[in-house]
Formats: sequence, C-alpha cells, structure tokens
Amino acid sequence: MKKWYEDSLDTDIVVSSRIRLARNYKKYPFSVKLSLPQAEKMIEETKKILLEGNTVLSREFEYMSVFNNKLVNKRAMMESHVISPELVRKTSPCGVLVRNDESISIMVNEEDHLRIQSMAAGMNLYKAWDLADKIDNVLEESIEYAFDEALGYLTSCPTNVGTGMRASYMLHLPALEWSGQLQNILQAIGKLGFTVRGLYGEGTKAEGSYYQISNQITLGQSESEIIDNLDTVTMQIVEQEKTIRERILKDRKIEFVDKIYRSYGIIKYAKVLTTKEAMTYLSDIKMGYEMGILNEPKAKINIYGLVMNIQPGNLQKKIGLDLNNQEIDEKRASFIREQFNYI
Amino acid sequence: MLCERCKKNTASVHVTHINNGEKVEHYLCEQCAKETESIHFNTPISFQDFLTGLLDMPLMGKSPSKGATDKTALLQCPSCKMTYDEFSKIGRFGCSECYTAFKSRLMPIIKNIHGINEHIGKLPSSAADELKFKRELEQLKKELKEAIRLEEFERAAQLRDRIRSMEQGGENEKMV
Repeated sequence: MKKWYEDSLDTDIVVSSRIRLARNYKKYPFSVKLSLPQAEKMIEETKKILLEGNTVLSREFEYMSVFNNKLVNKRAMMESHVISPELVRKTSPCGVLVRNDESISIMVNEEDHLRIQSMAAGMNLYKAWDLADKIDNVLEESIEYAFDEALGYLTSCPTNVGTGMRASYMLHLPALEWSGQLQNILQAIGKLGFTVRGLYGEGTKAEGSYYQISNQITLGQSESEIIDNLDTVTMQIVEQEKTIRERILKDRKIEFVDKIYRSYGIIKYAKVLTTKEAMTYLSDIKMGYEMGILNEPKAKINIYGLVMNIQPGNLQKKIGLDLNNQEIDEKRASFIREQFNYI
Repeated sequence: MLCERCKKNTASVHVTHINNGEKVEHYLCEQCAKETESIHFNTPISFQDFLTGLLDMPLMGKSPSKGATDKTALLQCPSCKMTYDEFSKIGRFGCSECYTAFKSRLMPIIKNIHGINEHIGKLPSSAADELKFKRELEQLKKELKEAIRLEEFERAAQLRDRIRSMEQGGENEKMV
C-alpha cells in the first residue's frame, strides 16, 4: 500500500497538512490519573468501536500496540508521523489505530485518551479536516466525550481545550533559512499565536529545512477560522520563500547552481550517508527541481517520501536489524542511489 | 575536526542550542549528536515549564488577599482527588471534573492562554441536542413572561404546561 506522503509532487513548498483532534472519554479519568486496568479497558473499548463495526473503517484500520512494541517499530512509526514522540516515551498501555495508507491514525492513551490525526499531501488542510471530522463523528456515536458548553472539548492540558484541534503545515524553507531571514519571520509568527517546530514536533530541530507551523489557540475560534488563519500566514511565508528564491536566481545564480549540483553529485555517488547529511543534500535537490535549476532525472519517489524512508527507524525496519551505525549509513547511501537509479 | 564529546570520531553534525538567549554551538559526530538528541527528547519541554509557571502565578491583574491564595491551594477535585497544587506542578488535569473543581482559579488562566474563554467550534451531537433543549426552554420562558405581561392568560397557561412537561420529562418530551 502506497503511503499518503509518497503521493505528492516535488513542486510544493508546503509539503503536507495535518489536523489533530484531542478527545477524551467522559467516564474515564485523564491520562495522569488513569489506572492500568482502566487504560487497558479504554483501549479495548476504542478498538472495538472502530474494528468491530460493520463499516469500511473496520477493513481499513489496524491496531498496533505501541507500549508492547519493539523500539525500532516505535521509532519508525514516529518517523512517519503515525505516532508522536510522547507516545514513544509513554510507560503505560498505549497504542494506535492506523489506516493502511497511514493518512489517519488514532493514538489511544496519549496525553489525551484519543488523538485523531489526519494527514494530507501538499497544502490541503480542509481535506485533512474533513477526514478527521468524519472519524470523530463515527467515534462520537459510541463514546460520550468530556465536553463543556462553555469550554468545548475538555482536554488533559488547558492549552488544548475548546476545539482540541491543532492544525499544521509542514513547510520546506531552504532559501529563507539560507538567507538568514527565517528568524525574523518565525518571531513574527509567534506573536500572531502560531508556533513553529522542527520535523518531529516539539523540541526537535528543523533538519532538512523542514518547519512545522501550527495554531496555538484552540478556544474561541471555530475549526474553519483556525484553518483559514493558518492558511493566511502560511501563504505569506510561501510568498517570502518564493521571493528569496527569485532573488537568488537573479543575484547569485552560479553559486547556487553549484551548491545544488554538488549535493546531487554526492547523493549520486556517496557510499556512506548519515541521516542529517542525506537530508541536507535532498533538501538542496528538492529546491533545485522546484527552481528549474536541476535538470536531472528524479528519484522513484518524491523527496519528502525519501526523507521519511531514510530515517534510522524506517531504514532499519526495511533492511533488517542489528546493524551498526556505519552499516546503516552505508545502507542509507545505497538505498538513495537505488532510488535515483544508480546502483 | 574531531567530535567535541567523544573526541574520537570526526565531527559531522553542527548543533546550535539557544540557552537563555545565548547561542552555543557544538560540533559532534552523528552518534553523539543522536545521543544528545535523545537526552533532549526525554527532558520535559520548556513550554511545559512555561505553562506550569503560569498556573502557579497569582491571579493576574488582581491582587488576591492572602486568604484567597490559601484557599486555592486547598482546592481539590472531588472525582479524581487531584489538588490544584498538583495540577499547577504538572500542568495536566486528572479528569474532566477538575475543570469544574478549579473553575474559580482556572478561568483567568484559560483566558490568558487563549484570549477568550468561550467555545464556538464543533459540538458533539449529544451535547448539541442538550443545548438546543436548553435554548428552547429559555425561549418558552421568555414567551410566558411576555404573555403574562400582555395578559394573554390562555396562551400563558399553554406555555406554562409545555414548560412544566419539558422540565419534568427532560429531553424525551421535547418533541411533544
């Protein structure tokens, strides 16, 4: 089954869209006060609703325990954004219901009882929201949610109360980063009630020039207002990135073309590549295609799909375990070469 | 260049940390970078500290008397037994009832975080029914007052009966 992120084109500054809804059962205490038997019961109950109903969903979804899973599997799921780093760290029963193309996942017993997550390629938050909304409606038929007339959906942390929704875009911003102007923009965004994080969320670095921008406020705005506001800010950032790319082409073209072709050369011939190195070069290559500078054959899957596939957990899962770091880096280089058709 | 941490492998990763506004740069090998990163992963996020700091602060804009602060510390959720003190340390509620139990202290904080404390987004359909029911009841009571004022007693009696049956029968009667 093709993953949702292998379906985008290498033309997008906005790489992906994500909606996350935080929901809690009314009848169970929240995560910090949830006993072990209660956690297990809650997980079973949620599985039953989705997997035993006579719907399309039951055929498309699969449950995976996260708590009882191998570290490499947990890591791979986190790298593909199916689960959050918080769920990887969790030391009590928890798991995830995931759709076969990984576009929807429902984390069970994360910070909230349920975290419905929906992903879409490119700038497409409404598509992601529609899906998340539908899944939420299905669950709601069987679950009485913790809800308050004035405060909306009650969540474990007061920062999520209200819609319980976090909408985010994953942006690829190499030119803004390179020009040193990104910091100013990020500061301005913070003042408008949005946050910016790295590829893997809170506390992670923006490797490969990927930045995740999301709403901070969840109360007092409707879901569509949140999405529309995020759209506006994101389009501004995309415009800025495009402007700088144009300026680079005008003022420093040869320097830039050289940088991109060097990266392409390394990707084409390197025998050992660390994750971070590979991500840096792939970032240059993605930008090179988009700016029409790099006129070389493309890889079998899009660059963002490649980035997901070469993360340590995903790579180890694909090629087998018990490799040391050097061997993993070798496998990474050969996997990438193969994707670009150079074996 | 050798890795700053293990001083064995070649440094291939450049890490920049910002500590209290000061930029600190490190040159590490991938392995050390991974290890320091995983430490990063396991430390509680700074936003959490920020939030709990906020929860611990006295009510903003008002200077509560000492008695009020003491009372706040004693707040406890009757359902899950979490105290406000415990909540302000971890920044997480114990259950949905905590919102009611800590309400007096919580509302200004929620307003600080979100700028407003009124939900206008999606409603679960069950809650939507209840809300509709409540609103309908309020509307009928208003009409009743109006009818009395206009001395339309026959209409007032009808309205009174409808309100009574709704209040007694609850939601099921609302279709009558």
